[in-house]
Amino acid sequence: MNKKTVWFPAFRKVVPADFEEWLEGLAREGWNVDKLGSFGAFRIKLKGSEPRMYRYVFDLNVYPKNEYRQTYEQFGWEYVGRMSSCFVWRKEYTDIRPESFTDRESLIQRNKRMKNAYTVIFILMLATSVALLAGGTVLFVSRQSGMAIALILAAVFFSGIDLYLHWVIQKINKNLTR
Amino acid sequence: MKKIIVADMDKLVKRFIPMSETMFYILSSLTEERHGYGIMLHVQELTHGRVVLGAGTIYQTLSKLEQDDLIIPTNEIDRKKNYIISDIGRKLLTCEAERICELSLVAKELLK
Repeated sequence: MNKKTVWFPAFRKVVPADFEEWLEGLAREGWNVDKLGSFGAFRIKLKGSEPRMYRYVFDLNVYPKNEYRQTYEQFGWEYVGRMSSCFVWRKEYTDIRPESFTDRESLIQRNKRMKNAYTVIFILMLATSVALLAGGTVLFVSRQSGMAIALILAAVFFSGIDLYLHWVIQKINKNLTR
Repeated sequence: MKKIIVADMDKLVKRFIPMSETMFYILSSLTEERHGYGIMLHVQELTHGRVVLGAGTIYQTLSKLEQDDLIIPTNEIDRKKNYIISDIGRKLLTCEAERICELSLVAKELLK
């Protein structure tokens, strides 16, 4: 059986609509998600099959109610899996690509939930960078240069992650209506 | 049932009116007890297929309406949760219907 693994998919396709289109493109080529678990953002296993026309939906829901899954299933969506709080659904179609978010407002809200999640991580990372930089500076002034350099390097590392997160937030912001 | 305070109603009017088409149709559908999928079918019929609400939109809107006490969950049959409009929801829907009627009159005048 044909199988392949894709690493860091959610980090490459950060806009929900891009992630969906990427999965749909793979499905048309005959590659479908075999299993999607908590580590799906880091690694996705794909299984070779007949080419299929699937509509994938990516939906972040941190506190889903009981009726969340029921609603999707009643509308004919197949549960693919959950990457932490990000649910992935799919529906096979032949003619018109089905939608889960059918008005502009709910689509923007879906994307804003992703943006807000990244913004929280961005703020935490920024606070960590500032704290490490401050600690490094204090140690440098106290002439403990070895430890100071370690802290400053850690601050640079977290700042790098923050720069990436800033890029992600900007990209989602530009695609709020998709 | 929550008592409607005038100040609260004013806040709700400012927040929800003008209403999105989705919200208007969902609230209208819930003048009778319905579940999410039933709402979609009703709206589709009401608009002759022009408005077809999706699962994500329905779930999101129902959650928001329930959180703001504009609709009330009634029961759950066969894993389908039913809702009905609340008194506050009905008042808000009436406000929006009056606004739309006013707009409609002005629009008709323009077309004369």
